[in-house]
Amino acid sequence: MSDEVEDCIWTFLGFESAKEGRPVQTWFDGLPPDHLDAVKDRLGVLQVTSRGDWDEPFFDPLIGEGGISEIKFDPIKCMKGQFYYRVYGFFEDEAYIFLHATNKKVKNDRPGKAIAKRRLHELQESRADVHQIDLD
Amino acid sequence: MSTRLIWTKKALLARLHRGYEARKKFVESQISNGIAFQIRALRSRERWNQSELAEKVGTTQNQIYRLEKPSVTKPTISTLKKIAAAFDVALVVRFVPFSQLVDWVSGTPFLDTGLSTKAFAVPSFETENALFEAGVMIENAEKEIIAQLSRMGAAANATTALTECQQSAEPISTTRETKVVVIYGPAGGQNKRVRNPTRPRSGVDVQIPA
Repeated sequence: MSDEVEDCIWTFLGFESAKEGRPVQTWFDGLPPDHLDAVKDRLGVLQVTSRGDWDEPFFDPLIGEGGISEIKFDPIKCMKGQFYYRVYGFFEDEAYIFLHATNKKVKNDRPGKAIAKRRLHELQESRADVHQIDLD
Repeated sequence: MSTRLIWTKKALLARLHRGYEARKKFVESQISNGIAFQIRALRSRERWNQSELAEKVGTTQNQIYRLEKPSVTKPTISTLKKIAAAFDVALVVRFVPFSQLVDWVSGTPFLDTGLSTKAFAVPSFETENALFEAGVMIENAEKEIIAQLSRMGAAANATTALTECQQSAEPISTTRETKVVVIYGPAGGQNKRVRNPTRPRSGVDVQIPA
C-alpha cells in the first residue's frame, strides 16, 4: 500500500546578526567552485525530499543536542586534502535554517555544535535574524 | 521569502561551461545523489525498511544501505531493474543532451518529443552550445533589422513589419555545416545577405528580405 506524496520545496535560510553578519553565507561564498557544486548537488536533492526522509547517511537529527541537526556531505578529496563539510541548522515551518557551516575535523564536532546552539539561542531570543541563502 | 530550487538554470550553465571535467562530475553527482535519494523515497512511500526491500530484490540489507548512500552507491543496471520491479515502477536509462539535464535539475518544464532518430543521436555539449549561440545571433539579427527599419523611417511599423515578415516566411532553417542561417525569407522572394556586425567572429550570415 502506498500514499500520495505531497510536493515540498524547502527554503534554505541563514543565520544573520549585527555582530557576526552572515557567517554561513560567507562560508559558502568562500568554497572552491567544485566543492560548492558538490554541496549544492546534495542540498538540491534534500530541498525536494520529504521531512521524514531526511535521515542518515546525509542527515543527523542530533537527538539531545538542544534542537539542532546536521546536514552531512560526502567527503571531498582533492590536492589540498580531504574535506568533511557539515552544516548545522534546524527546521522551522517550511524552511531549514543554517546556523553554522564548517569543515569538520573531528568525529564529534563539539565546537561546531556549540556555535550552532549559541546562534539558535540568539534567534530564539530575537537577538538575530535570518536571510535567504544565495548560492548562485 | 521566495522559494526556488538551489540550482538555477543560469548557475548550471555556468558550471557546465567550466569545462569537460565539471560536466563529467555534474553527471556523476546527479546519478549518485538521484538514485540514492529516489530509492530512499520509494522505500518510504511503501513503508518498507531496508531489509524488506532487500528481500524483494533478492539481496542483502547491507547492499540496500549502500545503494542509499550517495558516496558509495555504484548500482549496476541489473540491480536497478530489480529495484524498479520491486517498486513496480518503470526505469529509464538513456543518454540525454545536457540541456535536458539542466532543465530537470533546475525544475524547468521541458518538452520531451519521445522516441525518434534525433533522440538517439544526442548532441554533445559543444554542438548544443553552438546551436544556442546561433539562436542568440538570430535574436541579435532581429534587433539589428528592427534598428535598420527604424532608421529607414518605418519606426512605428518596424516591429509589426518584422512580425508579418516572420509569419509569411518559409520555415527557419539552420545549417551548421555551411554556417548560414536563413530567416525571414518570404516565399518566392529574394533575400539580401548581410553579415551581423555585432558578432563578426562567428561567421554566421543572416539573410533578410531585399
